[in-house]
Amino acid sequence: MNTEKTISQMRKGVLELCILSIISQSEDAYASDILGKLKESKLIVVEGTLYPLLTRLKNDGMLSYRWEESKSGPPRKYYKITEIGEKVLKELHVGWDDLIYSVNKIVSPEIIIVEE
Amino acid sequence: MKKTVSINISGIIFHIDDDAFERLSRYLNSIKRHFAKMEGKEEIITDIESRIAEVLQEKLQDNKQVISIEDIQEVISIMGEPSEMDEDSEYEEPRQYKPYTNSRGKRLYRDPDGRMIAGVSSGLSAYFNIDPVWVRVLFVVSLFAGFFGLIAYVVLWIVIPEAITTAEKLEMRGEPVNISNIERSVRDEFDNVKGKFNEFAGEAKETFKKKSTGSSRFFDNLIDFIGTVLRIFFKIVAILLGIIFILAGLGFILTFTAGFAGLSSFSFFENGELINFQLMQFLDMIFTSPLLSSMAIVGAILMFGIPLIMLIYLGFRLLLGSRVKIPYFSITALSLWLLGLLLAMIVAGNTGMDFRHSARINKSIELQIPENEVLYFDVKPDKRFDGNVGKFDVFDGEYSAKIDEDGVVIFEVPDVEFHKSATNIASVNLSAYAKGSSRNKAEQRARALEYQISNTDTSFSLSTYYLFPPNAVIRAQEVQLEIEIPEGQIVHFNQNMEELFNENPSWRLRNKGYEGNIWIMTRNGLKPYVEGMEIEESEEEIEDESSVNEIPRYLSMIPIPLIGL
Repeated sequence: MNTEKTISQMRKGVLELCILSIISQSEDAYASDILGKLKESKLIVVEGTLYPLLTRLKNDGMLSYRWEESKSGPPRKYYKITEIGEKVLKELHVGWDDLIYSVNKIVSPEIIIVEE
Repeated sequence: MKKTVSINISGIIFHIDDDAFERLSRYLNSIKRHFAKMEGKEEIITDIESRIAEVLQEKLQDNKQVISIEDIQEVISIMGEPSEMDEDSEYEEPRQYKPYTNSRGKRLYRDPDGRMIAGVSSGLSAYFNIDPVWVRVLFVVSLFAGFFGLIAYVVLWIVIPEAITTAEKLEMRGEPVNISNIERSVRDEFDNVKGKFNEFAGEAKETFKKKSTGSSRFFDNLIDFIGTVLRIFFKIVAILLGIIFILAGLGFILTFTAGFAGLSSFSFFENGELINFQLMQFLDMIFTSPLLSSMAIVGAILMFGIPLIMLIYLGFRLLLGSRVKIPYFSITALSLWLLGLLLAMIVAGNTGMDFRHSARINKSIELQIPENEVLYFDVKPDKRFDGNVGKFDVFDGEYSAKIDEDGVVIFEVPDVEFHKSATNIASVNLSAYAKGSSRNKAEQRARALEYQISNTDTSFSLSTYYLFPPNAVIRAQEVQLEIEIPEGQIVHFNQNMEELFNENPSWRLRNKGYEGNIWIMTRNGLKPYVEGMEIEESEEEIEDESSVNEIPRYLSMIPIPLIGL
């Protein structure tokens, strides 16, 4: 069995949740910041993956962006989460918590999850 | 020293090595192609370019101002190959996407595992995805229809490599190359063009909006677009040409082998009768030795066959691309063709030498006809030449032939001319002519011709034909008869000769209403003889002189009735 592949598929499922969260937490985020965090947590391997995702989220109305000139490079696209985005993020977040809870209950019953 | 170019990525100017530039533009093009069908692709590409600009900029410092190919390679490894960029394809092996984007078909191999002889049939059946039985049936059936199947099998055996490694065996059973796959690959190309066209149209609009900035990209895309259109066009032309080449090549080979099948009938129709020469019988009439005949056959097969095989090979190359390249094929084909040419030249040269010398043998039979006697001519009927007779042309000469139990018999009518004799002696002068590599050879051939003349005191009996010796080679042999008759001599042509005259529509004196077969030799040649006529020059005859003088020529055309045999 190709565990690598299964793990990558697990990560893929949460990629949108993570991107939305990163953007929502920072005032406004630019691709490089998002990439940094995602790569740090090994959620993506190649940077090229991010751009189609960002574009899709933006086209679906979850993100908006503005251009900002940069002193040291090309103009930067700063992303901001929209109201729809926040709503989707909330739903995804709930879904994620539920998933962790129920998966853990099955996989490692000895861990007691303390609900806030 | 290295050449660098300046490029503009997302508004930033970079100096970049030439090779690095090549690599980068290939990479960007592959990304463009990859996202061509995706919504918002322009935006994705702009974002990616802008990120590339950022990464590249980080690489530049005061003491490093030029982007090298290593930098580009690093950028590519950071950004990832296009196939890795899809949301759902990350971590998946790019290879799985290869067959889709890069339609690598299967290869034709001989199948060593399923072989009966050399694995050609089972290889072909794997290639075309059919049961090997059908291929084998086809080969066996074509064996009965001549050598076609055998030749095809041997050619394929030589031409198709054997699948030895597992990879090759897999390739052998890979994606079938059939019409629907060809269609698919063309459609893919077409979609590509459509995408390019839209891209191009968009660029054009943009360019008109903001005139200067986009113009270089605009022209890049224009060239790219034209390139793709041309590629499709050439692909279609290549496929069509390939099919035509293969069919034409196979068709010609089939025709030739059908010609050789049964080694073969050279057929001559004469009055609806058919003569079949065996190929070797025919060649024996032309070449002096069996060796030369064989060389002629091999030479002809090579000289005509090799170009046809090349044609088929070219057809497959056009149809299936360079995958069917066979090492040393062209050079081998060329050498074989040159060998064929060499053989043909040897044969032609050798045969040509046999025409260099000529010889003529003369024989004369003279008759002193007593005064007031009539000279009789008749033709001896010869049963040997009854039946199916054909005519054929060899080396500019026309000959008659028939096949009897001993083989081919060649014969022909002699040329006959009538002249006024200078003396009072009537004579039939026979001259036999032939060519050869030496005077001796030519004389031998001339002497070997058989023509019979017999005579009594007052008559000549001629033969209709002169005859070649058995197994003769045709070297311009010819027999001429010059018949000399003293002036004032009355001549009687026997009825059987008369019949020959009757068959000759251009014998003009006949048309003047003369029905008899008694003639007289005058100062101006043969004339019809009427009892009691005065043999003298009359003015009115002069008008006819031309036709009178022509009589001998018409007589010499006696052969023509032979057509009716």
